[in-house]
Amino acid sequence: MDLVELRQRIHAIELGESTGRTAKQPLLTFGVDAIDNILPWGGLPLGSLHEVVASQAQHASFCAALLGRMKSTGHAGGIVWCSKQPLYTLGLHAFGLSPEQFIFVEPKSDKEALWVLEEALSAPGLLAVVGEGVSLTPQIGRRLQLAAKQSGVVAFLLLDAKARHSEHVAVTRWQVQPLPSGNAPGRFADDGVGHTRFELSLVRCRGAVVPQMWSMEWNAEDLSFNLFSREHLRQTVRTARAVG
Amino acid sequence: MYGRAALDGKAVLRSHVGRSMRSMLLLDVTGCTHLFGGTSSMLQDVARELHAKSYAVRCVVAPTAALARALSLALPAGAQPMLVAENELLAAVRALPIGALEVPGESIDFLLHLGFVRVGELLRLPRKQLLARFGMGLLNALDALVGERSSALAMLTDEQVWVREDNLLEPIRSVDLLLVAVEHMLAPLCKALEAEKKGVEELAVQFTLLDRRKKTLRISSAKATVEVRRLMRLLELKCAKESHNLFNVSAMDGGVERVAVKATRVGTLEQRQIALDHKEEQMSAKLPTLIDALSNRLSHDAVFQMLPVQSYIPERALTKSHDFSKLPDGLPGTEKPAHVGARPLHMFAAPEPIVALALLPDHAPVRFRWRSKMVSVVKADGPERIAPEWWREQVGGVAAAADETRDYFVVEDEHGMRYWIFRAEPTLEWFLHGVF
Repeated sequence: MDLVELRQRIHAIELGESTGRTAKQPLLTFGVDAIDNILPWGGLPLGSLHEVVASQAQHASFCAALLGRMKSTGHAGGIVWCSKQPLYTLGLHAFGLSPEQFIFVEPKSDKEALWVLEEALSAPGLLAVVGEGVSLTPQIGRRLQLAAKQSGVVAFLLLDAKARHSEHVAVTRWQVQPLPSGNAPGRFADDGVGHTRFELSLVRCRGAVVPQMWSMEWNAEDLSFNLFSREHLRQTVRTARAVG
Repeated sequence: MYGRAALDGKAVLRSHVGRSMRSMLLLDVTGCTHLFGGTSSMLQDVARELHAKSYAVRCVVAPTAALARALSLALPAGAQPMLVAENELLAAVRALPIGALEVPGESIDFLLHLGFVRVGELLRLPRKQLLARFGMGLLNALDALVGERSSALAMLTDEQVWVREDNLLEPIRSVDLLLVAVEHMLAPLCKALEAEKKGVEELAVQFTLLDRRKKTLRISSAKATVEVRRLMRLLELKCAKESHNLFNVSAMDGGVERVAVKATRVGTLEQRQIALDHKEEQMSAKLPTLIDALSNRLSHDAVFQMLPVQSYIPERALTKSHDFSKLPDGLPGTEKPAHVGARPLHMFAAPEPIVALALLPDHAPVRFRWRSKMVSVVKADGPERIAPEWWREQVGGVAAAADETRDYFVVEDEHGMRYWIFRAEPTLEWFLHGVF
């Protein structure tokens, strides 16, 4: 049994689930040890809900980076993107995604949006379901989580930083803030725009020590995440305690 | 066959169009002629209309179909339309040449050889003799000409209408029971369609209430389908959506007594490939089902893809597509064109003017103001020149906006926020077109 499985079993015991489960949880690895090792599953678990909090549409690019990473690690399928307006899909190439993969849905109300998410989460062949600007109550969150678990489809909820969301609905919650990019690769001038960089924080996660923060870069050529700072693990001033 | 198109306006006649030889059209106009102002004026109208459509026709109206046919063959080209009245029938038949008879060529040759010239001579002979010498065929032809024997026309039928309707033994008021009844009728309909390799694209279910009012439910499917379960699911969703005006108690009154299920639009069924890997088939089959469910519950317009189009102009480079012909199937999608610069994930519907300070003609701005926010540019990429597509028609609107040459830049501020801005060429104005 390898380390990842062992870690998952310990996590399962911690959560009080049955230990008879031997099936390996499908997950998305960041490809960055610093993050993967912090997460109890060894990566981001598929078949569950995750929240991304950001302002100024940063969450769309982080989400796209996650989806690009999923695609490059062998997962395939369509993506249902539920929001007030569609993305400019030509910008997806920087994340290794293609416009044909995206199905946009524009619901007229929150109620419709939630119905769309639940319906999409019951279609097993999808790569992911993304809901932008949808507010959930814990009950609805639990329903969506159940639907995701049954179908194995991962759901990303993109939330605006300005809005209040204290309810803990998803399995993990991330926060994204932009950072200045590094030097542009292979350029003579040093003022060209480099790879996208952002400050990634893990704000909520069961069975993990939170909050955690990393300075990350998305390399559009390799389609991979990289750390670029040496102090990539910053403990908070408060006493770290496991949330669960 | 030709008549269907030519007789657009003659709805009354349409139902009696008979199948015939390659260049002949037989119409049964019994009882219709008064609607067109009499037989002769109707005949003139028909001839004129066909002539207007560049057909050279010979028109004949006669009391019997066989006579009409024979006369039209016998008439020389370009002759005036001919009308044979009831009392002129026998005279016309007698005057027909032997060659106009509807019998095999050898019989015609035989008759001519024997010296017969006109059909009238044959009519004078006793029937027994004609039967003995020339057989039943000739007698039938003669009888058809004269009207003793009716010659049924082989009618052209309408395109097959896919509908199943039934009266219910007892009026039903419960929606669930109604859906069960619909499913019972849908199953044989789908089976019949499948046999013809066709599938349902649009379905209309009509409920007739006891008081003769009718209520209709419509659903549509992106791909032609014969899967009953899938169609039922779409119907259930539609029912739920329209339950308030369709099925509340007062609206139902006595209940539904008749149900009609009609496939208003059918399409060819796509051959389903049997995947060796069943999982892949299961996966790819679910996506059209999901799209249908979403489209039917929300609206057709609310579910779409943004697909690339052959154009460099940013506003035109994507199109909203509702037909989902290009669905993700796990294969790698379109590769990014190599010589196109970076594109943002969010593009504004209309470029927003900004006030920018740029040092030299080809440099990105050092600072710019957008919506009363000051942005300091730290890094920049570009320019990427996008010129108007002179080979396209300038229709106005988007085309007019793209009349200008634009130099696009990707700029980043001190916080790491990236903007997609451009400078329009003739006016040297700066605009913000999107954010990354």
